[in-house]
Amino acid sequence: MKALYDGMSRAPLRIGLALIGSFDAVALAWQLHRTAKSDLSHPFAPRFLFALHDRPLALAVIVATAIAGFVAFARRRHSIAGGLLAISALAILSESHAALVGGPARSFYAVGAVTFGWVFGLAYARGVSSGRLGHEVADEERLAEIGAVGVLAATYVGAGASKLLVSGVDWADANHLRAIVVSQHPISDHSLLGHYADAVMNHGTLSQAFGLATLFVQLGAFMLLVSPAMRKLWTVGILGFHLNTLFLAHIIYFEAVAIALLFGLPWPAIVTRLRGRAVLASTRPPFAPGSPRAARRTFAFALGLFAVLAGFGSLPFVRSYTSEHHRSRSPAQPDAIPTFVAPSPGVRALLGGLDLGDELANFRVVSIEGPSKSSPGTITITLHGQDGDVTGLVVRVGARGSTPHRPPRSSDRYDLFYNDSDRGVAAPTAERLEAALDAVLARITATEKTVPMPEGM
Amino acid sequence: MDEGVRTRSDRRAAIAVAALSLVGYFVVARIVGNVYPFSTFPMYAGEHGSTGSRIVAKDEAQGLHEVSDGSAWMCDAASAESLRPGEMPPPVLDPYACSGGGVYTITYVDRAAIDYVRTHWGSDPRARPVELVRHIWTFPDDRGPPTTSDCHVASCRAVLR
Repeated sequence: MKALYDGMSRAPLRIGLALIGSFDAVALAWQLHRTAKSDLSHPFAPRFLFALHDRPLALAVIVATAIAGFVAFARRRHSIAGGLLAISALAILSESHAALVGGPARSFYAVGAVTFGWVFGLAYARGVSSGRLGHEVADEERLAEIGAVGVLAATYVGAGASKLLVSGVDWADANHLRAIVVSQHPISDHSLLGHYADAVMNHGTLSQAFGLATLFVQLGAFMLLVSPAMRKLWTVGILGFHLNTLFLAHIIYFEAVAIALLFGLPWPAIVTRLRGRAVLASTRPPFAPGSPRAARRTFAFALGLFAVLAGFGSLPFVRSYTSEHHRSRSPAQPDAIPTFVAPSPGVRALLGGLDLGDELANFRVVSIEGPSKSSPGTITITLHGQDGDVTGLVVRVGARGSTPHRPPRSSDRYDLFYNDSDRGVAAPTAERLEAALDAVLARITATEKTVPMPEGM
Repeated sequence: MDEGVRTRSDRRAAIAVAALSLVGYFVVARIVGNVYPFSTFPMYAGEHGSTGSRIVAKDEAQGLHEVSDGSAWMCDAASAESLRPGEMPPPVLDPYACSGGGVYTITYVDRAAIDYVRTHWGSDPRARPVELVRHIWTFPDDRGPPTTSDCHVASCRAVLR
C-alpha cells in the first residue's frame, strides 16, 4: 500500500493540520463569547458547557492549550500527547458551542477527526515497531498519513451513509437537491450563480444528476486510500462537490476543503517542480515493523480502543444527549422541550428493558414518564427521529379499558394510544407510527404475564 | 521508498491502519451521533416532500427580496415607539410560520431572516408596506419547473434597497 507522501517530508501535513486546528480554536472561542444561552440551546447540557460563554479567561486558557498542543504536534515534540491535548481542548470548545446553539457546527469537526486519525496511525506505527508510544520510530508518519486519510474518508462515507439511512435512495431523486437549493439560495441573486441555481431549480434531471454525483463522491471516498493516483482523482471530486455546494447553496466548509487540498496533493513535490528542481527520493530509513507478536498486540489494542469509544457512545445518556442536537425548539412552543425522565424499574421491566437513548422502530427514546401524579394511570414514551429526522411521536400505555376511547393497539392487559403532534417535532408517516406502536406492543406482550402492573396504573 | 521493497509486515500494518481508521471512525460515529471529533455529518440528510421554501419580503409590486435588503422594519402589533431603546420587539414573528403540511424548510435560514427583522426594527418616513411571506416552491412529478405560492407571515413596513 503506497501513500501519496512516500519519499517526501510530511511536515506540510502536520503543520497544516496545526494551523487549521489553531484557527478553529480561536474561531470557536470567538463564537462562544458572542453566543448567549437561548431557546435554541440544548435542554440537557451540563452547566459548565453554558458557563464558558461569559468566562473569557477560561476560554483563553482552553485556546492556549489547544494551540500549545498543536505546536507540539507540528514540531514532533510529544506528537501523540500534543495531538490528543489539542483535540481535547477543541472538543470542550465545540461541545460548549453545540450546547449553546443547540447542535454542533460540523465544519469544526474535520480537523479534530483527521488529527485523531494521524495520532492513531502514529501510535500504531510505534506499537508495531517498538511497542512504546513515547518512542519515535523511523518513517512512522507514513502510517500517520494513512490513518489521517482513513478518517478523512470516513467523514465523507459517513455523510453519504447518513443520507441513505435517513432518506434512502430518494435522497437523489429529482426534487431533493433543488428543494435545498431554493431554500438556501438568495432569492434576489441575479448574478451568474443565480442563473445557475435557477437552472437546477427548473430542471429535475440536473438536480438528480448532482444528487447522484454527491452520493457517488461521498460513498466512494474510501478510494482516497487505494493509491496516490486515486487519492488525487478523488480529491478533485471532493473539491468539486464543495465548490458546487458553495455555488448553489452558499455553504462552504473551509476546513474540510483545506484538509482535502492538504492531503490530496503532494505539495513538497509540487513546490520542488515549481522551483525547477528535480524531485529526489528520500534517503531516510524505511518504516520497520517489529515482530508478528507486536503487530498482533497492536492490532488488538487498536480494536479495543474503538470498542471502548463505541461502548461510550452507546451509553443511553450519551445517545439521548446527542439525539437532541439541532432539534426544532420554537420560542412560540415552550413545551417543545421534552421532560428528560428515566423510567422506574417496574416500568422498564414491563417495557422489556427499554431505556432512555434506546432505539425503537428507528426512533430514539428521549423520555419514559409515569405513572405519576401528573400523569396518573399512564406510561408516556416520547420518541424522536435520529440523524436529521425531525419527526417524533408520543406513545401512551394505560390499563386495558381504563379510558372510553378505542385504542389502536391492545394487549391482554394494556391499551396503547399515540399522539403524533408532539410540539416541536413533525408527525411521522402512518407506516412509521404503526411500526412504533407495534414495537411497544411486542415488548409489552412479551412481559405482561410475568411483570406486575406498575404502581399507579 | 519504493513499494517493491516494502516488507510484507509493513504493508499489513498500513492496511490495518487504513481499515481501522476508516471503519473505526465510521462505526463509532454511527453509534455516538455527534461528539467531537466524531460525527455522522447528517446535514441535509432528512426526508423532504416535493417543496422548498424560505421567508422573504414581498413589496407592493409583488417583487420578492431578501429580508436583509430591508431596513427600519416594523411589523404587525408592535411599533418602534412602544419599545424602549435597545429593547427587542416581542416574538410575534414566527420562523416556523407556514411550515405545516410537509413544507420543506431550513430552520436556521428562516431564523436568520426573522432575527434580521427583529434586530433591524425602526421607524423611517420612507418605509413602505411590505409583506413578510414564506415563498413556497412546489415541484411537479415530471421533473419540470416548480410552481410557486406565498403564505402570509406578517404585515410590515420597511425601507427596501
